[in-house]
Amino acid sequence: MRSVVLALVLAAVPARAQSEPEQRGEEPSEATAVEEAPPPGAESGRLDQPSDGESAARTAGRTLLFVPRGVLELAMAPIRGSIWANERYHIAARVGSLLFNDARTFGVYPLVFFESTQGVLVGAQLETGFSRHDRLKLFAGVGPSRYRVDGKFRSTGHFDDHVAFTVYGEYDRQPNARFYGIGNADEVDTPLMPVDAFDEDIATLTYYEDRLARAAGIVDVRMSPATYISAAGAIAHRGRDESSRGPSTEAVFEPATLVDFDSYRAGYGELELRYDTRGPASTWQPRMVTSKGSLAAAYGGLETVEPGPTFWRYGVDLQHYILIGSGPRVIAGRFEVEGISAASDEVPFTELPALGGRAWLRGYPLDRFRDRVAVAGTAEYQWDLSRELYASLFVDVGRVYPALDDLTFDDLRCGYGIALEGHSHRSLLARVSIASSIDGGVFFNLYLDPISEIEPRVRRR
Amino acid sequence: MRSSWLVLLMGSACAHSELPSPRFRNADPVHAVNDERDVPRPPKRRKDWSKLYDFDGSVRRPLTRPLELKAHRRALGVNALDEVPDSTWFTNRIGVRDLSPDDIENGPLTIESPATHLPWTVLGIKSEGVSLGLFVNDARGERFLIKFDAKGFPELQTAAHVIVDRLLWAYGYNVTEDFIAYVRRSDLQIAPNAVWTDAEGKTRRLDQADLTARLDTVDLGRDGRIRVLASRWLAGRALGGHPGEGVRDDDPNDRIPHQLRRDLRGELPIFAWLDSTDIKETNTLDMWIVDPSAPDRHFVRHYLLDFGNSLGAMAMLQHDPTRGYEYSLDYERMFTSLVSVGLQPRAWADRDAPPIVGVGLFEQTLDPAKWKPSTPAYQPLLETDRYDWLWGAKILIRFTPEQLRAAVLAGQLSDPRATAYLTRTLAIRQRAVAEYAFSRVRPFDNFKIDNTQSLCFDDLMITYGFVDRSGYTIAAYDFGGRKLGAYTARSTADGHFCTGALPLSRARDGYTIIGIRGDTPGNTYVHVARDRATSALRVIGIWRE
Repeated sequence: MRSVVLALVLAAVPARAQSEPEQRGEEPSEATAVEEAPPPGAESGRLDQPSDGESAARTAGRTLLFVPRGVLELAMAPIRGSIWANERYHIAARVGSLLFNDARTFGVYPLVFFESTQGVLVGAQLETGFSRHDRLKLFAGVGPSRYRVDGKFRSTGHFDDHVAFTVYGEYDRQPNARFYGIGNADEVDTPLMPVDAFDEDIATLTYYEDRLARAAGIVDVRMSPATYISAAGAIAHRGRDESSRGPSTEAVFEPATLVDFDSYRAGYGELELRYDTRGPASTWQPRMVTSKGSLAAAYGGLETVEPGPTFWRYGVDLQHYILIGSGPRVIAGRFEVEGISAASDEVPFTELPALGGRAWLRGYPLDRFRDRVAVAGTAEYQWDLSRELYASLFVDVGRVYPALDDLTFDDLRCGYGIALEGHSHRSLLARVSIASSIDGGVFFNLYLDPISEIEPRVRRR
Repeated sequence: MRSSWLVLLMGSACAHSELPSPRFRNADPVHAVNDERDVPRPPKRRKDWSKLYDFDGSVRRPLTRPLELKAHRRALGVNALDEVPDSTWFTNRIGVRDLSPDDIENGPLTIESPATHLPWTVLGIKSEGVSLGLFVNDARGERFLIKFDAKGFPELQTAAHVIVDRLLWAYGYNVTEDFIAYVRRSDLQIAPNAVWTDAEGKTRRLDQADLTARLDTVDLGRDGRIRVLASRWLAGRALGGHPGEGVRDDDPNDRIPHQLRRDLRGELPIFAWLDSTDIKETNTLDMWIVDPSAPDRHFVRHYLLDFGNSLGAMAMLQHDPTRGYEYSLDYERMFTSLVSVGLQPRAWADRDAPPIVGVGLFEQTLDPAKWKPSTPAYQPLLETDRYDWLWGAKILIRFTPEQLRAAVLAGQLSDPRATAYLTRTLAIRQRAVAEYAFSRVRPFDNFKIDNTQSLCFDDLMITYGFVDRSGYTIAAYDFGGRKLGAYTARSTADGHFCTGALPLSRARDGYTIIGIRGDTPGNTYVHVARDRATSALRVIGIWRE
């Protein structure tokens, strides 16, 4: 009996399957004319339904992920809304037209700077181009620990594009400027009694108010495609006061050891010879990524401080970039020496070469080390994360010395960190770095200028 | 070939094989679908929020898509032979009907070039996109969008645009009628009511100073003429690009989610071939048109647009050798580069192309598996699987060198070396794409039943010379999956193979499934059955695994 039932079932299965098309009534005609063709979705000719891949596990997983997905969507909603509003109402263009004139030769726009030591500086910059070669920038900014106004007029294209002029002026007030003492000493807690600023064993964080007013001018002469001579001059007035933030510099360091602490005037003139072949290794690389070439610059200048001595300032900057692979991937070496001829206890400490901050010894606070001679070197490996985004690992080594005769590899300070740089093809958008050092601490910096750019002495703080 | 079937005895035939589930109706395959049913009201125009689209495509969707746990699905919109039937999206051309080199050089053109109908009247300036575009009417009243070569890159974009236009047309896509023309500034006359929209969205009257300022940004020939691409204005009402996911809800003919459409997913091989990296929804356009044969009927036709960044032009113009190799925002690449401190290989590092006018960074080496468009925003290309690759590659390998040269000639490049280089490079890349696709799914194709009741087919790996010989394992099954017979054989030298008379099932009109396996992984299952009307054996379906 069982075998009879099985036979019936076997006979019935093909018969049922065979009759499916007729039951569905979907048997197509021979005609393929569009009018008589089936609608989209009915062209497969399949008797079975294509799998949609769904399963209970997938549905359960989707249910579980509903909340994180919703959170993500919610988090991105304001960004999407902003992008949409910008496109819908042309907000960026409207703001641009508010900030700039139609020809884009005059405009006022906001700028933000950030450095761990100095904090945020928010301001506005007025920029105007009098011609294709003449550009004026005026900036005014405020932050929790800084007030700043500066202006720069740069005129290029003179003498068959061989000569450029820059005139520069600034007023910079830092109510909480930092001073750690003179020399390469380790940082210690605030001493109970006032100490000598030149005590080799003590460096401690103190605050003072710093006011700097300065005017400067620079003439750049291009002698050959890679050789430049620059002449620069500056006059400055510097005033200092007690900071509202403690410990106060005057309370910690014996005032007698702080030369011209209240105020002084300074004048400076300098000549620099520069050989510069830096640039992108090919047209396929972003223009602002330095991937080949070298810089060698030597300068010497005479500085006079009133009241105080007249002395020489000299220095060397060396940079070399080695392209090691596409991307570009670049190993860069930078080295600088800066010194003055005067004894460190004859000049105001703000005129001493300094290390620490966003350019040299990035794992230390701004101007952490000051003395008569400063020597620093950097090794940096930069590589591409994408066409517009670059990462770099860097190690900075250096220290300050009381004199050139005292140069030694002992007690070198070492900082290290990682940086990210965003580029368009034509310009650096921003650079952020996080750095630390063998002495601890974490320092975050935001830059709008390339790290390879050397700030002229007449503009340094 | 004589029959070598080892017909299994009834006892052993009871063993069921693990056959894939698809079964097909005993009917001729569908070669066209009707998606031209009347759409009396125009579907809503999709606005071009390009920055929002970029954000969604490059940031939001890559983050949220994995959380949707969507299963990968095989493409829809294919007939029983795994081919795309004709529709408002795609029309089978090359390989299905004869296309002479002249046909390809002419491509979609139906009217005379506007170059012979000067002067042109400038109606306005295109506001979308980065490059300059002018709306013009030629002297006979035909409307065009004209585009230009970027300064310093003569012939590059205009040639790329037209060459790719011709190839995509021959491939089967709807494209615009594109012409190369040379005009002088004096040939461009501003219409009294000509306007343009500024960056703030304000409409402004177009004057000579505006036009001159814009024309100063484009490449000017030595003879003072400007080379332009003239794209004929499409008939109908523009609805914007099609969505990359889902369908147009207000178009009843749009029934297959676009990310599942074979004709869209299958664009990836051709875009890789042509290095057409600028793939986004806004480079497609849907037009609500009047049916030419029934003026009271309307439907939507779907176009591909804007190919000027193809053939390595985008990499050249943006000085960016990563185009075609990386997304602009490529998280995977960024992550691997970060953790490997840049030590991971860069496939684009050695890109090179000869410095010939009109030639972009269009190199002869291509790894199709690694090719990427500029952004991951266009969903169908993210869904492309090896079957879609096979479909696309089967079509593109049909272009002969003469046909490729004809398409390149349409670009009217002034330097014969450019024509020769592009033709040669297209042929080399064509083979690279086909070889990659064919290595992932064995390309058995052109199945037919001959008069000896044998199943004949072409092994495209051999037909196109990618391998010399192959061994085949061929088995026959009935509808229920019971094995009817099997044997092994060696391929023929030309790749055309016939099985010998098939051991047909006796049930269901002889419904028999022929499984074919080559030396490379993957089986192809060919479903045959007798036509009830004529009793002739015919192929009714193909399924590839």
